[in-house]
Amino acid sequence: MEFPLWKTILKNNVTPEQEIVNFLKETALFGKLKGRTLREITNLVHKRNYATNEVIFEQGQAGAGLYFIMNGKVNIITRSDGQDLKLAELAKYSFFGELSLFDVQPRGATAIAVEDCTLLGFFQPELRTIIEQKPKVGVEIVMAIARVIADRLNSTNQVLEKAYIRSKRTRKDVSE
Amino acid sequence: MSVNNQHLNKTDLILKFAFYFLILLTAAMFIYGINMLVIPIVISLINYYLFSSLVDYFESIGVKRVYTITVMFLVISLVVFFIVYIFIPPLVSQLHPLLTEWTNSSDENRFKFLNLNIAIKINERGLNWNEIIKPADLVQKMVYYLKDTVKAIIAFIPNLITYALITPVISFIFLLNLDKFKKSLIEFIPNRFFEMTLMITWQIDKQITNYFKSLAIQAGIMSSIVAIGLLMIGFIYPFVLAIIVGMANSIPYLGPIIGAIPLVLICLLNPEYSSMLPFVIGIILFAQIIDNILVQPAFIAKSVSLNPVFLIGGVVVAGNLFGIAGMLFAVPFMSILKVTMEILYRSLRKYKII
Repeated sequence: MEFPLWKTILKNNVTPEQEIVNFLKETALFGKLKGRTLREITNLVHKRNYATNEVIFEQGQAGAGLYFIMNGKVNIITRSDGQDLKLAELAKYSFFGELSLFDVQPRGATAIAVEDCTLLGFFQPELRTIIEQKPKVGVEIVMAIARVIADRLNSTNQVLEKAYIRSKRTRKDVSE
Repeated sequence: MSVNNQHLNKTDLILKFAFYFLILLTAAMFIYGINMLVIPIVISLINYYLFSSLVDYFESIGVKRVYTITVMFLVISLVVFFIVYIFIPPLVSQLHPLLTEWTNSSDENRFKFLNLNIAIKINERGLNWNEIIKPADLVQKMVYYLKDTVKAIIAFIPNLITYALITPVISFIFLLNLDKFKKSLIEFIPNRFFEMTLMITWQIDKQITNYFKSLAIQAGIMSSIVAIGLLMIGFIYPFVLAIIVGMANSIPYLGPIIGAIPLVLICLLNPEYSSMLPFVIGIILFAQIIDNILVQPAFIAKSVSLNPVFLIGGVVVAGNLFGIAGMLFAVPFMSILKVTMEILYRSLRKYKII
């Protein structure tokens, strides 16, 4: 037996905007931002659907911004000397292409949808608009992105450092 | 299997084609249906590009868009009210008998004020220019043209009232919500071209905003200089005439001449102001010098500078098709087209589409 009235009252009425806010709260990039800032971002992001094997962007193409994975999986691939190298397989809540938010530089890798995906795109025009229209919110967003980029740079530095020490040791061993 | 795939691809293509065709058809029908709204929409778009930066600025310091737009509209309405109720009735009452007198006297061929005795031989037989062109005929034609224009303006008043009521509403909606509307439109772009379209529309938007802003600054500076000059010599309707000079100045090459015509005509046809002609020309020349030396290099972007041949050609063609309004809009339209083409070409290459 169904109770339409109770069903209506108890129904989880999540609006598309609220759904995006809830999703952004779970991401590493915007998870620590205030609710108000997240609602501002919700008005700016573009929800896009990609089919399996569809190219999201190509290596060498001018970039416009970053993507969050709302649903599905994305492969990040680089091509060098005619060979494809899979850098990562990203899943829900991951993001990629963040460097293109600050400059229209060529993409360093190709992103391909492994399965049907829903992505949230956040692009340069929107970032500039929010910085011009609501500087406080803009600064919060830029700081959040800067933190993540700094973290990634730190990890890259550590990896490089380890690789350098390892190669030095190997060279030393070979010479001995 | 592959045949099946091919069939699917074909169906997909047909469906996509049908979808975009339907969108285009709807847009075309919409534009055809709202013929009456085209002019208010174009004016509202110009208003959007002119004032959106101001609204954005106030939004950046915490004032809601709706409040800024409301206050801005109130101020503009007050200015328009001021111009309409203070300048227009005396202008019409003064212009109407003047025009009637001119047309009557031009019929009687009593026009003496253009009887210039400058002997310029323009052919071997020694005829003077005024024997061929006949200033009286010229003035008669000009006065008839002026009278017809005034009549056309009066006939246009009902439309003008409709526009005056609709345009503020559309401008208000555009300033408040056009960004969201643009965002929803862009959602229709296929994934492959999405990023490129987003960047292109953003860059074009920026260029158009800058262009209209610089035009407004240029017109404002020109109008101010001319208004101060006219006030100093005690000329009739200094503000309205100065605004006409400032706005006409947006038309390159021909603009300064078009803007000066009403002033020169008043001097030539009104004995009270005829002695002021050298001063009036001096003021316009001074404003032109300031415009060319200081204003244009500082405010008009080089990216929108057009080849003079194309520019004059475009202005003449648009003027021929749509009159003074066509001349005014030809340059912005051509500049926008040039910027759009440049950005489009650059982006298509950058996004590896061509």
